[in-house]
Amino acid sequence: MPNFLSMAVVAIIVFAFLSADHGYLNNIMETLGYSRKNWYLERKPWPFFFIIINAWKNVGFSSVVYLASISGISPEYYEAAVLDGAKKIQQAKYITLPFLKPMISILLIMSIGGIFRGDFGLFYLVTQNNGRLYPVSDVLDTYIYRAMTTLNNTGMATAAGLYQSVVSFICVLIANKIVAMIEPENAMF
Amino acid sequence: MNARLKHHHFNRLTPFWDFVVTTILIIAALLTLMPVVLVVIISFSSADSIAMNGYRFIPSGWSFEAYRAVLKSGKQILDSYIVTIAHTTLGTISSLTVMSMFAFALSQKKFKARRFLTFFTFFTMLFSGGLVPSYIINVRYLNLYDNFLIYILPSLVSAYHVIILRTFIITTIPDTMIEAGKIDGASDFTVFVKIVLPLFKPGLATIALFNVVGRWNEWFTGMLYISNPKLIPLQTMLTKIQQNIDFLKQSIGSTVGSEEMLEALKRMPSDSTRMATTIISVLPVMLIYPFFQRYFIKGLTIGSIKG
Repeated sequence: MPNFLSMAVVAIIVFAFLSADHGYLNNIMETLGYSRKNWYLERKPWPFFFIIINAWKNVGFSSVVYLASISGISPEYYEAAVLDGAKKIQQAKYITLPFLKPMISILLIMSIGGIFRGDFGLFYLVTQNNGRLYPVSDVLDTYIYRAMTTLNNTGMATAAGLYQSVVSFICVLIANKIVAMIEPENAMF
Repeated sequence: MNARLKHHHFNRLTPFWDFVVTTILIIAALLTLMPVVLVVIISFSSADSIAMNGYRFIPSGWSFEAYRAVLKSGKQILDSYIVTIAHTTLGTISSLTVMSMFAFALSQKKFKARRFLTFFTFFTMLFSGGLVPSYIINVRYLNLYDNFLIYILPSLVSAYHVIILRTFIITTIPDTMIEAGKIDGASDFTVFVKIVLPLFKPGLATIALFNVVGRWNEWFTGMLYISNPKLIPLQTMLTKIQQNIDFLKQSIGSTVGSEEMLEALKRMPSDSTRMATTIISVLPVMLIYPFFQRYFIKGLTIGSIKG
């Protein structure tokens, strides 16, 4: 469900948890006997926060996408498998996964192409663009944005942007090639 | 034996595992919902409760103060709402018009430039110049800085959506129908309006929803290209009040400036107001999304079919 929330909203939700003065996380810390922390200044936990926030936002939607393709599989296959005495795990391995293969390969190719693109909203808004967190939060996109708007280093920003595009493009080509080698019909192009 | 083979029975989980799986999924669902609930509750908490206990799921006092404050002094919110609604409706309509016609052209085999244009469109999905070149083009050459058209023009055609629409036409509308129309003497445009569009509705609905939600949630454009507060969309406004709740107060102070209002602003409970603004701005999408989610999924499954 959180998929339709924009990162601007997610940033505020995260703020409700991490805010130094009233944040929910600090409340819990206090009840457990730990000291309050200003989470927006602590570098260490942020990689975990990013993973949790991203998972929270996207897992539901991805599973619905997979659910849609799973429900497209004809129940007769499972029926036959049950008659042959297949267990649940065997059904998953020999029926469900093979049917999901095309979907998985396309999503894989796309996400490999996205390796060099960070989720700008996640890293810029959710961290409140906090300079102390740059060592763990600065991705190419936020760097480009900053180089362009605040550092006024347009040349560098353009170069970084082009570099990002070229490398992502090469990544997609390679991923597509690998998928094509294993299963030609699942390749994107 | 026969009964066990009935559709829903042949593959049932045992009651024990059924219970375990259901419990895990319910817990996951609650965990997902929890953060949103927290924000809703904060928006209804009284200022005293927040000052004393911080954000709580069960605040010591409830109040509607935040919503009252937003309604009373919501000039900025009103402006932003109008911008967002205009962006969403005009943007979606114009984009659907252009993209559906483009997709139709790309789906016709006798169209000569078809292969080249398809490649051209697809290529932009994989490779782009990046932020700086688009900024320079939009601002210097197209003069779109602080211009409402920035919401419409650059996002008019989405390569991904065009590909989905094209695949939809190819897979669902038989060539013979289009040819039959041609034989009856219809022009390409008449064929498009009279034959393709009616059959095309589910595909269009999906893309329309992608557009509506995407445009409603768009905050980056507003942050990069807009400085006039009158043109700032809701989501960008949220990022601004996230950084600084005073953004709301400033713009009100400069535009209205009556004694009474300034007084109201001073008493404005900033934490709960921030949350209340958030709730107000996501409410429309939150209300329509559950009903239309299936179209989204349909769109994604259509998109995954190669054409």
